[in-house]
Amino acid sequence: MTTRPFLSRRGFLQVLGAAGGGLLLQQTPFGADAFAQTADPKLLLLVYFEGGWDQLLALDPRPQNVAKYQRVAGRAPTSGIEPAYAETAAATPFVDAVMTATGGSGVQTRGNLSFGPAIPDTLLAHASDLAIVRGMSMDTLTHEVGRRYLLTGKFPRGLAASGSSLNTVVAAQTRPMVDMPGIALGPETYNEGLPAYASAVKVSGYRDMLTVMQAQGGTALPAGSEAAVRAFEDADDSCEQHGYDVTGLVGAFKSSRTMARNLVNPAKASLFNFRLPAPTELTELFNAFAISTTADMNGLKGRAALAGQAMVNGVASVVSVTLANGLDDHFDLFTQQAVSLRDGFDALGRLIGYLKSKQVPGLAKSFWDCTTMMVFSEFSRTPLINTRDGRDHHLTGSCLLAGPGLKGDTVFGASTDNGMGTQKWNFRTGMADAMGSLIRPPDVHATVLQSMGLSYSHISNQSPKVIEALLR
Amino acid sequence: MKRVRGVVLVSALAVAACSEPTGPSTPQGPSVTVGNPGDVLPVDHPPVVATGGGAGGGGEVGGGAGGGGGDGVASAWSQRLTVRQLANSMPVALGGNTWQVGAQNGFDARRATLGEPDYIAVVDENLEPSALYLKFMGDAARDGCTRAANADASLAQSQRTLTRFVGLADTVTSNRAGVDENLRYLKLRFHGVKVQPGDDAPIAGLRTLFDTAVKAAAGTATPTQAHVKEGWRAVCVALLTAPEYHLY
Repeated sequence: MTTRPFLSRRGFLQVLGAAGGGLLLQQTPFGADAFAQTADPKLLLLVYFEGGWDQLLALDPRPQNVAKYQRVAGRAPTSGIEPAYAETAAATPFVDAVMTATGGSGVQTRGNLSFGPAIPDTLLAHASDLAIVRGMSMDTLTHEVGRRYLLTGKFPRGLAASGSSLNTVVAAQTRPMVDMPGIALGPETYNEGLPAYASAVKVSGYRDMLTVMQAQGGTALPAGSEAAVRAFEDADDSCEQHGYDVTGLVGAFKSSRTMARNLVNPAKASLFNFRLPAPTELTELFNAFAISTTADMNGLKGRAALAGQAMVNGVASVVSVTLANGLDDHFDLFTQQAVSLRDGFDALGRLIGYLKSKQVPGLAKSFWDCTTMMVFSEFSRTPLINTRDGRDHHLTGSCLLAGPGLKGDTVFGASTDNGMGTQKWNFRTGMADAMGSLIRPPDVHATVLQSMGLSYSHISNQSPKVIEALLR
Repeated sequence: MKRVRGVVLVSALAVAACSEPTGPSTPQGPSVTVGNPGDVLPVDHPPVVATGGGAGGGGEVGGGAGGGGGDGVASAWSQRLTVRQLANSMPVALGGNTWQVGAQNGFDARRATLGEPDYIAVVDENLEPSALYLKFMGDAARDGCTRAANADASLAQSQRTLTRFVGLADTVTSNRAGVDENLRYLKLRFHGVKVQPGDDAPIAGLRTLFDTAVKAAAGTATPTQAHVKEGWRAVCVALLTAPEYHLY
């Protein structure tokens, strides 16, 4: 057996190089200074629509009244794209109203943007701030893979997420001075190799927030004992801990323990004590999100309200939230898909409106002015209706972006007019270009992070390309 | 391979730095068995050795019995207990008591928030020691320790959980030896770490914590059984929220 030296020359040089690189990195835009909190807070809103959305109803519509998108004598449309707005309108009155208002096309136009009939006025009102990315190649038809691909910007390993989710990456780089850097209201959240403080606190609703921000009733130690325990924890440094800490686990544990103390904040917990009738301090919030029933409080509106409340009160600056569930309509799509999309986008529109209505303390800007947003689903649904009046999984996706570093009223990319396939684009000019590149989730992640002035080096192995055409 | 060498090197340094003086032990009366000098790792823990026979990595590092050279069992990476492991371990450590949220077991009541897999929507458990996890473990420790401390008051000394080697009203001033013996017992019970009678460092912080909590509860009065209970409750919480309890 060959005996190898414990620390080879190559290993020594690697360590030396890493240390030197770390020192140099401090001086670069990716160093500690770049991650420090700046005057303008960097807020992130990551919105997930669960199940794979029908983008024809939302972000990538086609006019129903054009012949190539219509069935003829029972045959599929020649374009291979079937908006089926008429069928949806028959089962969904609000889509019917849009069809009437748009002269039968079903496409709602605002500036340079076009939306399907499921997008409500509450979101359309903010169209000038929004950018749509269309024709994105999702590379998968598996829910978990698509979801985790768009959460992390890295293609999963099998079904398992690879890398950290975008919310964690942003929290790690911005180190926001808030109670809990990130909260995840539904979506999965991942932390691979980033500091523990960047991990999102996962909650499912306002009750969870109350539980997290309050000590469990009847269990508190006397103040003197609590102080003594805290002093012990701060000084505790045993041999066993050093043994366990070879991978930094004890350091992460202690960091989280300190953060957990800060989570308990009864004064701020009252911000999330949602109840009906709404108390005075919650009236404005409940009005903004049209919350009038217990179902509203526990549903999408309640989640969106919780996200808004956390963002404008300095509780969390990185929020991921699921605003639609059960979009995986392989059967009978006409009755529910548009309703679920409408409800989700309505909650989103109200959230944007609420963030616009609140000014950042000390700045002449609203919270929305400081918020970067990415709205996504794991993939889309097939452009043709299947034999069960549903749509199956489709590879070409779309997403909605906004932020202070991103152009509003802008569309980048497009699905093809034949079967809604992908096509290549020039990322600098924003024009279709046979010599260009397909749009992929890592490109969107890189663009979002670049627009926030943050590093996207963690996805370098995905060969991301910044969509310069979307940057301000 | 490089990572393993790194682990071995750092572990060796840590253990070497923390090596304890060994000497004859003289157990008196009911006592924690500490007569086996040298076992730093918990009972049955495999010896920590290098894998692959790297030049500097042979030989056991942890001082556990058996194993040697490069033929021993490699120790796994350290990781956090799962929620289910915690739910099962806490009643053992707390003498049958555990975390309750209302009438429900706390680990069941908070299982979704703690991220325990339901194998429907969540199929794997994130074992990161997150702030949310530590927050709930703080709740669990405070609740469980309160129950254990209350239960001790009505049990015979040999059956007590938190105060097996000390009187219910003993303090550092009135019975320092008993308090130290009890702290060594609790360190073994909660963390699986045997502390030699002559080794003060591993329990010094706990003794200070106990003493401070008792004095804080008593104020200027002479400490009573109720004040002393606060001391042991605080020690119990500190032990249950320490990395040694949650990591292995």
